[in-house]
Amino acid sequence: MFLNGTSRLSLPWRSLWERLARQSVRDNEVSLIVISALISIAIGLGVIVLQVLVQQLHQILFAIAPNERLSESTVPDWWRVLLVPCAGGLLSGVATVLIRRWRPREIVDAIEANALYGGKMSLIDSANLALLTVISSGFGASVGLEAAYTQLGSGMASRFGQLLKVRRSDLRTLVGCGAAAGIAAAFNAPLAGAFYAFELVIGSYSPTVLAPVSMAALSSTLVLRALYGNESIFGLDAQVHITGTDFALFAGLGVLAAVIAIATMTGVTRIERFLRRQELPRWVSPALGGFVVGMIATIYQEVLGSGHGALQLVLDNSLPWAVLLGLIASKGLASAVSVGAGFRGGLFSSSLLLGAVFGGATVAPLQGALHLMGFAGLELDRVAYMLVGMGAVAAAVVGAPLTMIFLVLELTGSFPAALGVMVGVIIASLVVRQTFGYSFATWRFHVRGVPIRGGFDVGWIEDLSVGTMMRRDPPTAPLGTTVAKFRQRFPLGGPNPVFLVDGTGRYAGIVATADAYNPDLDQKLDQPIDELRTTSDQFLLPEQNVRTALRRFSSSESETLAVVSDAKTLHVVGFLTEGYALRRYSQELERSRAEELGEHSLYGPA
Amino acid sequence: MDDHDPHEIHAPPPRKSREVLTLARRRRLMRVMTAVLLGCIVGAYTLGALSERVIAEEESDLLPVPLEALIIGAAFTLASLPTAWSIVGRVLIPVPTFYIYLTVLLGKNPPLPFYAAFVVAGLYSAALTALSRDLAERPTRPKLGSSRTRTRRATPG
Repeated sequence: MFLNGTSRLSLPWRSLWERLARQSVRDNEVSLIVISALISIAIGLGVIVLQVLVQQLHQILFAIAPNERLSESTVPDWWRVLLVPCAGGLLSGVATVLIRRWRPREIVDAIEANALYGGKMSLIDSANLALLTVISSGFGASVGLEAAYTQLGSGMASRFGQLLKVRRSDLRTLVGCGAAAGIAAAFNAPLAGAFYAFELVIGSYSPTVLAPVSMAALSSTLVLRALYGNESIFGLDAQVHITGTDFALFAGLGVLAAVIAIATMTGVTRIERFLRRQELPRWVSPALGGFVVGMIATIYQEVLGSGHGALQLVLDNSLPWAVLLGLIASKGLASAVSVGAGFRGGLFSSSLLLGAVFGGATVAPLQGALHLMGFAGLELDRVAYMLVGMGAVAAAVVGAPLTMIFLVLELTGSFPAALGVMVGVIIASLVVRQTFGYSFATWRFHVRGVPIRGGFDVGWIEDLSVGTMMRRDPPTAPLGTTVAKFRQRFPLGGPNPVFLVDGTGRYAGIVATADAYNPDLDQKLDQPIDELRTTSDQFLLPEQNVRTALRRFSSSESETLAVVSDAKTLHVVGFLTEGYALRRYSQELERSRAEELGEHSLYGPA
Repeated sequence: MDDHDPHEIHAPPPRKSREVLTLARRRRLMRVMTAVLLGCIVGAYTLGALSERVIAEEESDLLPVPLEALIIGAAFTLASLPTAWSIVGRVLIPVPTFYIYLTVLLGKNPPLPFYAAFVVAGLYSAALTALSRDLAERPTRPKLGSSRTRTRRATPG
């Protein structure tokens, strides 16, 4: 990178460059917007490269025509359908094992980076994940490329931001810009891209992030339109007709969409558990998953790949109810097996197709029910129900309701359709929140034991550890010290409290200095001080965060606690007061709030 | 006066706590619901697959198509239930599944060659049978002190 070259510059030049870079970026909102636009151009190009790569792989491996999409075409050779996903699984499995040996850490995605690491992501890890996703989707696994787009986009933006040493809040915004650019270019939908970043990656909307994120989404979309044309994942020929009754039915559709979304998300985990129980080598699982996807595809070829082609197919053709029902089962199963078996990729595209098919499948039974109830003249618009189903299932799986409403609005240009989708999306999101509580991304975090529910910045709580807040000069006295000796060593107004330690240096309790000067003890000066000690079983560890520390203060009802090196040796290394921990917590909370709103913190420079 | 013999041991019958019983009941209910849900998925999948057939020769079914799909789904549910008699369902699955999927694979557009359709239909049949057996017989987690945990603990390393 050209910025790495600054390390070769002589000291004055390097210093000048760093000052310029920091001043122009850190103190200037406009420069952040410009940077986000520039990065997004690169991200838009990256999205095009990934799309072309996957399409080329589909053409070579499945022998489809250049202008066809895999999930809508008929693959001429049955063995390709059955065996190519399996081969892709083998390749993906081996590549994953090799990459794990090289970089054993878990890959941090955009949401996790913004929530826990202040927006810091690895570009190499992101590129690795994009490669694995291209292999997965290119070989026909039932996953979309959106995970690759957002990972690569936010990884590039984060790397660039780290090189410029931008502030934590700006780096988080840049990560959001990267994700927004990726999604906007993927769907040719800038509004959906921007709201994806607000809802999922940044975790909130504020005026400071509006301009850079919107600019990023717009830039990458314009790049895509300039180089790739104004095509989107599907198009509609006819207008959508929605009546008042439809809105009530859309609410019911939203409830069922939530059930499908939850079943798909938990299905992934169940399949993962099933495969783990078989104790197969790590590289075998994706191959096995690929074989299952191949078997499903021998009957339902629509499950291959991300499903964008199949989406157009089901929107254009009024497929029989039974086929739609079969497609719901097969697509849900194929997606869950693909992700659960270890293919890389997400459920964004899969949930769009799944939802559209589900919406279409509900039309016939609803129409029948309406006829039975005496509403014979009421004709339901099949496409409207497909769009509502699509938005509702995808919003429930992805966890981004506004993104889905805007996606439908941008792709169809139909305001009535967007209104209908809004009803289904809101109900589905509400049901999932109340009953399940996770989107697919946060569900994966939950399964991994990562305690985050979105892109909100909670990393500062982890950074604010007891070790960084504690005082490192704890006054100690050995157990058995007499009151007289204690008074001699620790006069009133001196260190308070004092920590008792036993002969081996283990923590043994706290004595408040004032207690040792109680007039009742004046006649008992030879008595050991041990009787005055409190909280001998309560202590803190340096790695615990401020939240745990405050909880411990509350449970022990003590204002000061000893900090010990570890729970085994109990060697006192410092102490922390509740007052100081609370002050630091409120300072950091205020700083975080001010950064989100783009204001100066009460505790920072004016 | 206490007329109990002090040497007599009065061991109360083993009682499980209410929480344990509730948890066990909930776990069993979850397994039954999983079996029913998967049965519905298998039924829907089969119904869709049967509707994919376009070659008339392969559409000579003994029963109406929805009934065939319903039977396969119900047999799968039955075979997946965590009960001793789930074996009845497992007996019902293989042959009808094999036959139905053979007709699907030979009747779809484009059809599979017979040898490939035969193998894939066999795989479908075997996979559904094996999956239902796994669902029916697998305890969610080994009970404490059961042979599974003892064996695992006794294993060196």
